[in-house]
Amino acid sequence: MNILIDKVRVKNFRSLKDVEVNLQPITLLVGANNSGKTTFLQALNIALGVNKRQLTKDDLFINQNGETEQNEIIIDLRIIPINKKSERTEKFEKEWIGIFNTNAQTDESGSFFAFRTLITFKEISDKCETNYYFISNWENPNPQAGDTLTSSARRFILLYFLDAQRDLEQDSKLRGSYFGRLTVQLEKGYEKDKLDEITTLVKELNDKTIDGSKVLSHLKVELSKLNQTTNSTGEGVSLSPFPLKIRDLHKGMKVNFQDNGSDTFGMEYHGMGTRSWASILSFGAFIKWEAEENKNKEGYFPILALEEPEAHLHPNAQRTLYQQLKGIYGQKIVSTHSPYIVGQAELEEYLFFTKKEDAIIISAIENISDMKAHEQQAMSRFVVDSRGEILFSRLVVLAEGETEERFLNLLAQKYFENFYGLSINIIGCGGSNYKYFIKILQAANIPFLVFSDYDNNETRTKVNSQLTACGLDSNNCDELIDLGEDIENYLITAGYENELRQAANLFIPVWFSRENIRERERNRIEINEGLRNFLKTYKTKLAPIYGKILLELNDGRQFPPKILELFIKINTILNINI
Amino acid sequence: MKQVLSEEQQNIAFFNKCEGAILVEAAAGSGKTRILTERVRHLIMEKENKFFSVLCLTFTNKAADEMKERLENDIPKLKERVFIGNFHEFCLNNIIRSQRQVIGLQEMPHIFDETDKKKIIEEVLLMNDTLKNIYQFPNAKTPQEKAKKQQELISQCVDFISTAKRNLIIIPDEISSLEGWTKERVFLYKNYNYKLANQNAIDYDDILLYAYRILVERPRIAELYRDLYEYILVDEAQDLNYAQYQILRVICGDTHKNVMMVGDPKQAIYAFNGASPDFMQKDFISDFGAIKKEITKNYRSSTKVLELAQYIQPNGGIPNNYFEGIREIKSFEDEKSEAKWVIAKIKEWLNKGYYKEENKEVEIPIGIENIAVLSRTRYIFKDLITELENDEILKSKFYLRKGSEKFEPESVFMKIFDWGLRVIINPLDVLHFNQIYQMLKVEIPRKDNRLEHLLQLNNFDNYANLPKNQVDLLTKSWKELNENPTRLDMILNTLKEGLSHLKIQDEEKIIIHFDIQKFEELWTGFLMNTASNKQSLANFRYFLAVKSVDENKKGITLSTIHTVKGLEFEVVFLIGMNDDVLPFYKAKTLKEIAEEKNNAYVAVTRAKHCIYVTYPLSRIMWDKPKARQTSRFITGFKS
Repeated sequence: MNILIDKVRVKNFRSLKDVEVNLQPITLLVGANNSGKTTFLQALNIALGVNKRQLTKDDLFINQNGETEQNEIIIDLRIIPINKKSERTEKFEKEWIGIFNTNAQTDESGSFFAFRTLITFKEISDKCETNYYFISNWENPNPQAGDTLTSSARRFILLYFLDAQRDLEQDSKLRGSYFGRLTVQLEKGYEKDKLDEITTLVKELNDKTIDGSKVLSHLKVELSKLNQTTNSTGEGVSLSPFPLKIRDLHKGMKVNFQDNGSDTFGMEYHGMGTRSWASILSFGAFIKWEAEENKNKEGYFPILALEEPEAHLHPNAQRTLYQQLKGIYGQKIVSTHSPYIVGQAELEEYLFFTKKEDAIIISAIENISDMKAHEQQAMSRFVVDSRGEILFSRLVVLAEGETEERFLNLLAQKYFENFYGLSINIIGCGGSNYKYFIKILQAANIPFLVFSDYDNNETRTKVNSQLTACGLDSNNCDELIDLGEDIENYLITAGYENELRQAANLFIPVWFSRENIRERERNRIEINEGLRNFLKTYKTKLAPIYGKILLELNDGRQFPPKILELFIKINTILNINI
Repeated sequence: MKQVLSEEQQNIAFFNKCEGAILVEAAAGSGKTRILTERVRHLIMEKENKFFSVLCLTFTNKAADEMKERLENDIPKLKERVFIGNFHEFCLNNIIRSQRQVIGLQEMPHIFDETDKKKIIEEVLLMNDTLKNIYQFPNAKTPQEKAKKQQELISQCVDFISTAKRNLIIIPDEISSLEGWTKERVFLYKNYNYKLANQNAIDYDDILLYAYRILVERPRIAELYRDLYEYILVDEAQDLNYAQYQILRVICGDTHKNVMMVGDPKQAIYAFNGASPDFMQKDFISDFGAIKKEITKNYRSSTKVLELAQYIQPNGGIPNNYFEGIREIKSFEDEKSEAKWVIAKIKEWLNKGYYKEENKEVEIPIGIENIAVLSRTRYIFKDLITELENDEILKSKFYLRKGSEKFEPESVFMKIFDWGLRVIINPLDVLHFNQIYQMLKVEIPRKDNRLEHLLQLNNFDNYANLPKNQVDLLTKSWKELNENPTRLDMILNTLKEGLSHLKIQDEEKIIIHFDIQKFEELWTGFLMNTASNKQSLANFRYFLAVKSVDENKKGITLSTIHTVKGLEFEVVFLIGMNDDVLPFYKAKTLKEIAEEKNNAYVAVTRAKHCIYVTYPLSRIMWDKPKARQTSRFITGFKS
């Protein structure tokens, strides 16, 4: 791969009013349902797709007032030369120079090739006209009527759109599927004498099969009456259980799969997960074949637009997907809801999709190259790898540690009806990692709240500096709820000492065995004399216990004030009426 | 279809496996186009590496079209692998169109022709007191003399600007330090260019200059072309001028050597345009290290034709030809009898319909398109045209080839229509906008929105030069055109339909219809030669700018030698072969005389089988017949 579509601009297409994004060799489109990911893939498909559907005026952007603003859809793409490390290089390789011809352009970094797909709808009818123009200035494109694309790039740069409904079982029956398009060519792979040999073998097999079968022999005799009625002079009717010509073999081709020592089954007996993934793999096989066939003859650059590769797959299987996808030849643009796939990718590879009012916003993590290596690593490790699910949330609460995570989750489940349906994530992220989470959430346009202990000056300074680093004002921060002390002390101050003591006492018999009576007693004394110390020692383990105790209160004290403040903030942000 | 090359031609066409710089000095009729065509075919079909493109620059569109036609069937997607076209087409549609932003052009510039140029020069002359004073010619005795002197001055200015541009003079500040550039000249050059730029227009010479500027200002672009066109071929290289050669140099840089130039120094006849065979014979050899190959055999002409050509310009001897050919050199009492004889001879050939020699099987069909009458200058045709027009049979079967001159309507009605069309394409075009108002003698609107004004041109009560109902019709047609910019054909029909209801003098009507017909022909030609998604009005204008008018004409060709370059005919008449005509009376220096000789050589070698050289012994000069000499180029000739 020596070229890359590095920039895309879409205007006035469905929910995409005006977006511009950067693409990588593999790009993951991340966002809630209905946030424009498929629309974005379809836009690319209009410009470069091998299979296109007819556009109608319904594809125009419609604003909040339900009006279309313009009668045209614009899709701009920029292609740059890259090296093996996917870095931009100065010049295109030989095979592309002729293809881009004089439509290629130059800027301060070297050559590039950019073109516009312009779809114009007629005033009255639903018909549209599609024109392609070269673009000489990406930042300020202004193609004129005569600047028609003369490059043949669109014949060599091809986008294949694999939607979520793929299924190898179906593919194997369709000539137009990638499986079909590859197997149709199967004759090509044989030496001439091998081909003849197989043809003879198949003929022999056919004869033997018919002769040995009473049913088929019977059928053959009866059908031969056809020869009499049509006065045929040729060979007349014959039966062939197996295709006579090698090139017809693909018609009956089946894919079987054996799993963990079970019998071998045809695809139709396998689950959708296997069938869907097999379909993607057969696409990969097709692409690899085409690329090999075209080598040294013409340029060939496939782009895979893929919807939810994780569909129907087991989480463990999902983990292997990313690497396999990466291995497919060409550029990949993949929409996904899988934290497992997201967790494997690089920070540059995300595009976040969010719906804001009538239009979609697409964003990315900015200035990654300016970050220090350890910062990038921390982001990958602490955030996307271990907490990938937050990227699919509507709101994230960043709490100090596991204690807070457990406690707050328990209370929130009670407070919010349909808590899981709201896609709220409450996570403990460890006091010094706030900034990594915040930066990614900011990039993804996901609202967040920080629920911090602020228990001593040191912590205070640490949290403040992290907020400042993320561009927030730590003295006046709407996103921040601080307890002023650690959660246990806060609860005692807020009047929950009895409940905490109760929890501690409930915990002892669970934690210390009956035999160890002395230990139990010693702890009981400790609870009475030094509850705070005890709480500190068994922090995380106690949180669910006192959480449950709080939830059973019916004197209006179920939710401590600071926690209620947090929940009310969540309500406001998500616009939920209770 | 593939053409067979002789061994000599083959050795040259595929020399050194097509690698490296090579200069081919090829005599007339030695198969230049054939060599170029087969080299392109060879490169595309035979080279194992398929990742390259070929740039093939021709001098005329005819040569380009011929090459394309011969290659199209065998090379699918020819356009993607090979650019074949003339220099201006390449610079305009390739370099300027794709890379114009580099020199700050957002939109494609519009091309102003000679007439437009003169108008602008006049405007500039009137802007400066000194120039104005000169231009007014206060000492002129009669208005006629004044007008004549003004025209001469403007022509001098045109030449001056053209020469500067052909010498690639770019930066106005640099000019003042150039020798011979007075303050007034700088003023003229700067303001002329400034006025063009303001209207988003360029002149014909600017096409090369702009392309050169792009390549020089952004070396990366030159590199882009260098990488793209791995093989470059140049036809008629003896007619390269400074600008063209420099463009080639910039594209090739120091590394690109795969250039083939094909030309014939004996056919160099464009020195007055700044062309020189030196670029190919001297610079190309020293800059590119080109290897020189000669091919002298004339595969085109018969023995009789060649004998005469050899006499004029000795060149490689006479090969064994299949055809003996026919040659006659005849003198006449006067021009009229000369013309009559030519016509009689043409009729004789047309009646016969073929050319055949005794004991030889091949029979060559001869029709009007195979016959040409050539002369050094156009006025020589005066008597012949009169005679032809009075001839019942031939009167509509000839045309005077105009060569590179651009189409311009003759009728006032269509002139205004054409100007309006330009304003529709380019609302910044003040020049043609003002011309409309000046012609009609109505007040030029002050406001900027020209298109809007144009579409309301019929709001006045009275017009000079055109009745109101015609202005109404024009306005209506522009409106329609503005709404359907790709339907010029439809609008022309509207005009015809509209005109049929108006009372117009017969003579005028004929001229208008002739103009409309011209438009229709050109539009059809444009549609046939242009991809459907490029068929816009603006592109039509570019088409007119880089194509010459006569391309698809059929009939007996009457042509000056300069515009008949690269063409061939079965039967050629070279008329008016007097000593003041060829060599032309203005030619004085040895160099000029040598170029006149080239002209004679070019003329004779256009003939494949029959050459007739004629001259009158007397010619009417200022109402009086005067005795004339036989051209010195043929006087001593004996078979």
